[in-house]
Amino acid sequence: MAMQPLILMSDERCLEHATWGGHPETRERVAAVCARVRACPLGASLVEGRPSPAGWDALLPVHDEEYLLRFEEAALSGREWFDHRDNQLGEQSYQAALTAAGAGPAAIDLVEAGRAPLAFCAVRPPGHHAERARALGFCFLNNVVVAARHWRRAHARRRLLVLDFDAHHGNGIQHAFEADPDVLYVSLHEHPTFSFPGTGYAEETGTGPGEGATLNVPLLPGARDDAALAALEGQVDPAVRAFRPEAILVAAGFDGHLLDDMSGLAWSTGLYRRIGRAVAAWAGGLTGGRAVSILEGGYHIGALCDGVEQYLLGLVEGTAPHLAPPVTPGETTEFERSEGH
Amino acid sequence: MYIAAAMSPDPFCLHPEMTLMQVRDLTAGKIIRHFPVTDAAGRLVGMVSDRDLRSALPSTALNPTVRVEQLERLGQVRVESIMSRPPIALPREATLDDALLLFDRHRIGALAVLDHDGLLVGILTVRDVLAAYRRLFGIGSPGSSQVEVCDDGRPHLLSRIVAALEGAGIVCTRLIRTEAGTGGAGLVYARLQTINLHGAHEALRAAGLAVVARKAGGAAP
Repeated sequence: MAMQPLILMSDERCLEHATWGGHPETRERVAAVCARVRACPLGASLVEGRPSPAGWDALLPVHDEEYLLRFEEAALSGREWFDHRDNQLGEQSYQAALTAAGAGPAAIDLVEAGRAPLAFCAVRPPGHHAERARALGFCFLNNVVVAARHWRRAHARRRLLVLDFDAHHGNGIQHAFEADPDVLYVSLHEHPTFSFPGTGYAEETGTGPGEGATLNVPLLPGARDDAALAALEGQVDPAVRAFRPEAILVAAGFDGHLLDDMSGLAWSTGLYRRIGRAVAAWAGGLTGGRAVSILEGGYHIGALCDGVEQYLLGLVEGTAPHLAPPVTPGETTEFERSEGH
Repeated sequence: MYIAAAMSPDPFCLHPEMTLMQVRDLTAGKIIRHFPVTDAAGRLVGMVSDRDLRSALPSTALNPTVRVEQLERLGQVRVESIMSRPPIALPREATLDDALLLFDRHRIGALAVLDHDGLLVGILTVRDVLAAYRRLFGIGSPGSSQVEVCDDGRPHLLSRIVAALEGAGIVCTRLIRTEAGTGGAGLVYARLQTINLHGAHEALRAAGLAVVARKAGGAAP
């Protein structure tokens, strides 16, 4: 059956960001995701792209110059970590991070050129914890914020929705846009009293002119699909429709999965298909179909690959309603059944 | 943590002989909830809350003629007649815990802070204490996560937790230990400076410690 085309943005330079000693953020994650996307039913209709590394003109609106120089110096001088022991790095990590940060803009350019309305960037290191001048939580450059700035500057899309469904709150994205009334940042994550990074309380709703343009939905440890779906339907959907974005960026993290031990959330693979469909519905109704997703976390490789595949299937079938089979909450995949869940 | 670091210095003060009309004029447009009352030497003699002031003012529901008469009478009513005394105060060397206990015992919203000579140097409100504890615990600051460890009844529990974490290169910023209660085991809540929950759990388990499984709902209330 013919599928809707989907842009897959990836680059082998992202695999050269070195981590070791049992670090969860491995090169195998992204290698496996790329292989799965190419092998799954979406593979036949992929539009593949390779990003250029982000230039300083794209990075300087997001990160301080001194920070970028410090990061480059740390990588090239053989330091083992940057700003925190969590953020391991090797000689190629700076180039890998520039490449990951260039993926969003490259995907956006293809979307705006009409190659396909949907794009997924399978890149690392992830980005949503990176602050303006601080690496945090495996993140060095904030890939989603770089992409958002590019979408506005290069294509004059003013009002953006940034949906973040990684299990951890995207502090870096929130801080970049919390005073901006034209970026609606929506995050579903494990409650900050328990989970890294300790931000994303429901009472954080934006600052100054951006008051009301941040929506945090903290979920308690053990939260399953029903809690996420209730939030999507009851809180997120009305907020997105009222905001009326012109384009959608998604910080797509898959560490909320039941099998991923980096969070306390207990989501099934089927939930990611539901999220994909929700994004597709907003894109279809509000943004002319435009939605670009960028990989964040997800550390159990099997669950990550399953989650990405189901999310992308949800996205694609959501924009082509005749292709959409019903999905019920808590639906399990072959993988989950084989794992005994 | 000492209250001197959390208080508001040089608060807006009243004097006991001021009339309520003067206070009303002086405080118009200001949002102040608690006023220390000091004598000419700067010694604390009382405390007035905005609620005390509102209670002393005539109700807006009164007949306008009656209200004007009552407002005129405020020109004769002095601060000393409505202030609370003796005022609740602490020396500037008192701790946040001292203040917390005092707020709880007296059901008050603010207390005065005094120097060695008994002179007023600041005011500390419940909000100031909340903000200070928030800073102390790093609540809302990006960079940390929490794990819960079961009290296994063996000696040196806290030492074993910290040693396991430090051995894995994980910084622990606070430990809170709760005693076993009815139907529940004792727990230690450890605040960690890491996203690497997997690594933290592995290190604790390798040291023979039992970590509460969050996927199953954690230590639910």
